[in-house]
This record gives sequence, C-alpha cells and structure tokens, in this order.
Amino acid sequence: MKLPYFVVSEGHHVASGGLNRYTLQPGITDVKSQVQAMAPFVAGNLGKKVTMIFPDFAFGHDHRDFFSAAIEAQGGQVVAKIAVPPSETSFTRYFPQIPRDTDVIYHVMVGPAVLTFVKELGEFFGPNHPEIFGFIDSLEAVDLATPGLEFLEGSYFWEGNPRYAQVDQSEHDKFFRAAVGVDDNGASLSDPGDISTYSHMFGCWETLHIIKDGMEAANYQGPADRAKLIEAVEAMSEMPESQAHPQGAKIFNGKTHQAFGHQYITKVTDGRLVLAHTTSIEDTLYPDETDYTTQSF
Amino acid sequence: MEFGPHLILAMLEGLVQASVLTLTALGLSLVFGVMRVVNVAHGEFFMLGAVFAWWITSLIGGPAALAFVIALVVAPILVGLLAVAADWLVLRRVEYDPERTIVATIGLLFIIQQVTLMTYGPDAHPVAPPFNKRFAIPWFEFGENGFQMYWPWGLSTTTYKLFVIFGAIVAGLGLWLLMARSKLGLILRATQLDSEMAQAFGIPVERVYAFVFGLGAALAAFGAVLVVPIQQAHYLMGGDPLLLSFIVVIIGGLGSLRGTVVAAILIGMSDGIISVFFTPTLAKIMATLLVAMVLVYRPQGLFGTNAE
Repeated sequence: MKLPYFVVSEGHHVASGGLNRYTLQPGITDVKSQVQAMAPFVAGNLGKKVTMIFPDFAFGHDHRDFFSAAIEAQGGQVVAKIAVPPSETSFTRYFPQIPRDTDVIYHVMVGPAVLTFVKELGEFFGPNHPEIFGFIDSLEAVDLATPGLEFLEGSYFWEGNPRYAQVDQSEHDKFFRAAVGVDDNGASLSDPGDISTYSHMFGCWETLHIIKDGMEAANYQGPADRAKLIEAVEAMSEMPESQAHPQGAKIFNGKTHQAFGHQYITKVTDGRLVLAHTTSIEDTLYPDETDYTTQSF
Repeated sequence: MEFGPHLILAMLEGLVQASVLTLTALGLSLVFGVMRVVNVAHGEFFMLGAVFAWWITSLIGGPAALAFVIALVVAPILVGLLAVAADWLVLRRVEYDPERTIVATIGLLFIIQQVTLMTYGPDAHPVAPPFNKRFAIPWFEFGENGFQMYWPWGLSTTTYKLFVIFGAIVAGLGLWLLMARSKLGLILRATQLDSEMAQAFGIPVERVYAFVFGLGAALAAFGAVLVVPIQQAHYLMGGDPLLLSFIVVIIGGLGSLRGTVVAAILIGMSDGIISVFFTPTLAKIMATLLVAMVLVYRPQGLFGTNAE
C-alpha cells in the first residue's frame, strides 16, 4: 500500500528495516533505544544481576533481546528471563523462577492484568525485595495510590514522559497538559481517579505536529503528494523542545525513519514518580540498520 | 526456590484457583444436569459478577470490608435475576431444545459482553479486598544444626487468598445442603430425573428451570466476586472460566455435582502445580488432553452414569 503510515508503537520494526518507505516513526522513540539507554543506569545504580519479566510476544522479546545485550555491554548479566503469556491473569506462579542471587528485577507488563501483576510481585517478596526497575507500561493508567502498591516506594521506572509534573516542569509540558486535559498528577482534569497514559500519550501529539509540518513543507494538496510528504519528513532532523514537542528535543533519522530522544527515569517517592535521571539523546543512538531513502516510491 | 517450599506455593495457588473453578463449574453442571442446557454464556455471568462487585463497591464507598460483604451478597442475586430473565425471555421460547439453546446462549454471550464493553468500558478495575495481610510460611529442614525452621524467600500467601478457599467451601456445602436436605432440592432432583413425570406430580417445571438457571449463574457470580480482589474486573474475563468449567464438567461427568467438585479440584490443583514447575501453557495442554482421553475412554465422565 502506498499510503503514508505514521507509527506510534515504540516497535523497533520501523528502524530495523522491516517495513517500507511509506512507514515512519517520528513522534516516539523505539524500544531498542529506550532499553539501551536504561542499561548504564541499572548496572551503575541498582545491580549487575538482572531478572527480566516480560510479556511473551514481539514487544516483550524486543525488551529481552535488546536489554540483555545492553546490560552485558555494561558488565552485567541477565540471570533469568521470565516470559509471561499476554493473556495471563495470575502471576504468583511465575515468581519462583526468580533466582535468589538477583540484584534487580526488570519488569515490563502490558494489558488489563498489569495491576494484578505488580500487586502479586509485592506479595511474593514481602518486606525483603531486590531492587525493582520497571517500565511504566506495567502501571500505565493505574493509580500509584492503589492499595497493595506501597512496596514500590523507592523503586524506579522508565517513563517516556513523566506522569507527575516535576519541580522544573517546562512551559511546554504545562501547555501540553492543559491542552489534553491532564492535571499535575497525570489524571483527567474532570476526574482525579481517571489516570491517563501520560507517559506515552505525547507520541500521538508530536506525530500529529510532524504530519502538519511535513504537509506544510511539501505544500500537500492531495493524495498525489503522498511521496512529497514522506520526503519532507525524511528531510527533518533536529526537533527542538517546543509546544509541538513537549516531551523534549528529538533527532529524527531520515534514513531509518526513526526518532531518538531523551528518556526519563523516575523514582517512587512518597507515592509520586519523581525524576531521578534523564538520559542524553546520545545514550539512545545505535548504528543504522537500514536506509529507506534508497527505496523508490 | 527449593523444591519443598516451591511445591507448597504451587499447591496454595492451585487451591485458590480450584476453589473459584469449583463454584463456576458447579453452576454449569447444575444447569446441564437439571435442564439439559449447555450454557455457553456461563462465563459472562461470571464476568458480570465481578463487574457488579466493582460497581456496587464503588457506589457504596466507605470501609472496604462492608462494601465487599454487600457486593458478595447483592452481586450474585442481581446476576441470578438477570439469568432468570434470560431464561424467561429466551430459553423458554426455544423450548429448551438442546441445539437451539446452544445458539441462543452464544447470542447471550455476545450481548452481555458487548453491553458491558459499551457501559463499563474496556479498562480493568480493581476491587479492594476486605482484608489482605501477607504472611510468610515457615519451612523445616535438617541442616548442620539439626532440625530447624526457616522462612524461605517468596513462600507466602495472603489472608484474603485463604478466605477465597474458605468462601468456596461454605458455598459448596450450602449447595449440597440445598440439594440433599431440602424440599427444594428434592424438587430439583425429581426434575433432573424425569421432568415429565415431575410435571405430572404437580411440580411447576418451568419455574424450577428458571430458578436453576438463576442459581447456576449466581454460583458463577459468587466465585467471581470472591476472585475479583485478586484479579480485576474486565469485560473479557469470562473466557477462561467458561473453558475450564467445560473441561471440569466433562471430566467429572455432565450433571454430576460430586464429579464436578472432584474434577475442579483435580484440574485447579494440577493447573497450579504444572504452571509453577513447568509452564501454564503445558497445564492447559494437559487439561485438554485429559478431556480428550475421558471423551474417548469414559464418555460419561468419572462420576457420570451411563445414559440409557
């Protein structure tokens, strides 16, 4: 299909060259660069022996493969890889596979049962748990104040964009929150109990702005100009932090059709996610695996 | 994890699952036994129990324990009444014809599921447990210092999980008392044996059918309310309980309540243990294989009687 397709999935399948020239992911970073940028923090601050718990499909496999390689590059080691079927509703039975010498639990879970997953993880360990590092996917749209999540205090999360407004909140984040109706705690302005997927939702906002900029640059008139739109987006490179890019500055790679940007690590402090570390964009870069611009339209 | 503590944890998890499964499967078995209706919508009544529990507890607010107890009583009754309405509106109209009731309950499945999606939404919602205290379980070993007790990493359960097992036992005993020791149970058993003869003796069979269909759905809903503080209420949660209930009812013998209980414990426990030591997928494969073996070698099920 010769139809421009703007992906907002975090999948590595765009930058890996698995798709075609009409496919771009300019508004959100991919799992490979996110995971790679986490490894130095995990190995340097939490521990070297990591047990990974991830959903058993492509998204989880990306985490497994890219993080295993990245932590080994830091002198660490993945001591166990626990794959959980995506339709699973009960998790305690997977946790005995966690080796006793684990320093850090790395968890990423998706789907309707994420809250059960995190609660059962806490019940399994009780007061003596290893360090815990999770992707916010495991708790996206879930209130941190939910009973049973107290054990997460002091643990770390990767966040695409911090759910809680931070002390040094940018004016662009303030603008974006107001525009999409989200309060300083990441909840809906109309219902404080309705937690948004704030950590990921900037991806659609930024992608829409890129489509708008691309259409204006290509002087887009209709379906005949589809190729011109792709070329206009390919020509983009630096995207400074702005109202159109409230998550932060990004660099777009026109050859691999993938954006690269800052990653945030937040720590659960008094029941809120407080920014502990921001990676540089350089931390997230990896060598090109494809060049879509060599493909004809 | 060492073998001993690992096995205990597996059995505890299996028992919780077996408890909920027993209630759900008893509902399915009761409906089939008395009415000869294969209720494909049974899993949706389970799901409705969980969704109603969320709805009731969030409507009441206040202390979690009080709201939960009210949900535990009210949600199964509401689901039961809904099932009675479904019986009067749908099943009675197709005269309980075995093939047409299967198609009708498939339709019911989709209606209930989609209406829940349209009203309750696609998100999973938690229900606060009335109490939930984690406690570690000690283990014993003969070490260098002789016999000693220690607390293995991860070997623990919660008071609420034990309550689920307890609640299922109470509900199961209640059903047994109703069936074996009450006048109503006598009527149900008479209808099950020969509905035409029962009618000839003045038993209002249609009303018995409506009651049984409601009771079956209420049992599933009761199981769901028990499990919802552990899992969450979600509009697609009815699929697994339906599948497992069918497996249990086929192995135990269609319509045999005793067989259903034995098979539910067997499947729940083996699912728990195989899942912990191997993989949950293997557990499902084994259960399905067991169904195939039973169908081939003992089609009436472990406790079923041969249909003449």
